[in-house]
Amino acid sequence: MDRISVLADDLLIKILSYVPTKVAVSTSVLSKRWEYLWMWVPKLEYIDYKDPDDDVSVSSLRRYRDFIHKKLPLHRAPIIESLSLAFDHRLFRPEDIRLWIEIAISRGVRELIIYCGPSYDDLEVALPSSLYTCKTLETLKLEGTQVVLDVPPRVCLPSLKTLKLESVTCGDEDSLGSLLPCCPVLEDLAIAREEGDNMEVLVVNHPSLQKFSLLIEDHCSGDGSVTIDTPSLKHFRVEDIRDRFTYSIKHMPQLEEAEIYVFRGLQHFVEAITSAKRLSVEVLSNNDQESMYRFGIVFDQLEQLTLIRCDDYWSKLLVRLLNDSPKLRTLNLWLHQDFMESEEPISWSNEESSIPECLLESLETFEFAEYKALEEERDFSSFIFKHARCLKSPKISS
Amino acid sequence: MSKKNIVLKSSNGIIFEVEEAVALQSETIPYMIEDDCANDTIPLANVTGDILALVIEYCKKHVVVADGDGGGSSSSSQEDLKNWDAQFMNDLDQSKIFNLLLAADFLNIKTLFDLTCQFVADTMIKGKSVEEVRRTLNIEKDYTSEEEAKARQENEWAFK
Repeated sequence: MDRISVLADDLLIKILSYVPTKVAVSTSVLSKRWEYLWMWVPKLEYIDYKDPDDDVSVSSLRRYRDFIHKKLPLHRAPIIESLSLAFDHRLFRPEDIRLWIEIAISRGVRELIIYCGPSYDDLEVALPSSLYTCKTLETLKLEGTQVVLDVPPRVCLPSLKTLKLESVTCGDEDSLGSLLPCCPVLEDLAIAREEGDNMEVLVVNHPSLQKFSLLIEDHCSGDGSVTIDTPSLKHFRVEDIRDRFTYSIKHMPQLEEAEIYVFRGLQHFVEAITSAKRLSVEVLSNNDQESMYRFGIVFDQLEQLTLIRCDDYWSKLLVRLLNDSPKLRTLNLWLHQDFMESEEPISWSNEESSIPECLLESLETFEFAEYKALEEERDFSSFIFKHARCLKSPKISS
Repeated sequence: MSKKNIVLKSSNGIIFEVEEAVALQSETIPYMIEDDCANDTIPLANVTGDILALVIEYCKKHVVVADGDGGGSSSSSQEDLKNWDAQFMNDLDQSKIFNLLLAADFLNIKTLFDLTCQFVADTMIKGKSVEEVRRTLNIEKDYTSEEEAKARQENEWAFK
């Protein structure tokens, strides 16, 4: 008597939903009872894409494609909750991918994850227009420069909460602008830009967005601008290491956490994020005036500050931030992996006449990671230990 | 403020008295309380005493942590809990695991149900050959050799 036979089919199907689809399919040869069980699993991932350099025969890839073609329309789960497709071979034709997405949409898909690798080259993978009116879709993740977000005139995604676009190409400059207003419950938006993606002018306006993450690599053009108006945002992350850029950001009064990683140009961001409770800052080049921000800014909610030291002169920015954060309780100083040490030792002295208020009143936790005992580090830490009256748990690690 | 207790009775008549918050991790028990008089013992006709003891051990561990973190869950307590869960599952034999899965399903304790499903998937199916899975789960092969060859061919992709 096999013990697993005490479990009803619906429990076995539940267990199968915890293994990759490929493993679930392999259970079909266990016994007759198991033959079609995997076809009831509501989560499908065909992510077995091969690196084009791998030694895979075209015939085996063709059989894989034919398998999906044959099985997906016959899938028995009444609802396909999640479908992941990841391919990097032109044998998986854009029309195949479009058809499979359409099947998932017709079966009430909630989560759709699509990746198309570099093999697609000049071949566009357009998404079916039914995707843009899918009522059940809650999560959409698209990745690959050949995946085209071509937003039709009629769009309605009433359930979409999470949208992640990684190196995706927009059909035109307005694509994102026409998509976002049609996603009324969107909470989480992540965009990673790629050169030539039609997002040089990026406008993100959304009244209820909670989380927004933006990544722009340094090879993207500095032309165009980023405009953000998201009054409900709680988490804001931007990593933009272009040499030049233009941002116009409305104040985010609900902000809890902000992470700003830039080459320079911190002043574009600070006014919008003054309500943040937690802030991480990384400015790759500190040694110019542009790295600073204007006087008069106060981070009046800020409790936790993490500064990543990228080059010498980091302490200049840090002292400004300390002076402008009267309620700061925790300060973490981390080290960037490519820290640039200058040839001349930088001595640091507190040129400010006053001691930052947070040192006298609130700073309790101080962590100094990868301390190298450089002059700037020594000067700064002795300044902290001399003046921070409430310090409870300082930690310095080398 | 005195904490309210709930009395649960296993199929083989063993009585467990637990705090309400512990028992209410089950989404089934509240309906049973509504159906019966709240002071009465709640009979669980298809959970044996040894399995109910495990369920309660799990619920006690998880209720303490849910209480303790006061909303802002710290990563260390989440990490501790994960390690505890792994140890908890590792100490059980296969028959206990399947019975625990049935109990978690019946009592509708979502995190315990997910944990047991994940454990079965990870330790008894994933990373094993068809023969190994058959042996581990004691599944009788009722295919003829021809039928099995055909099923393999049909699902060839999964065996690459």
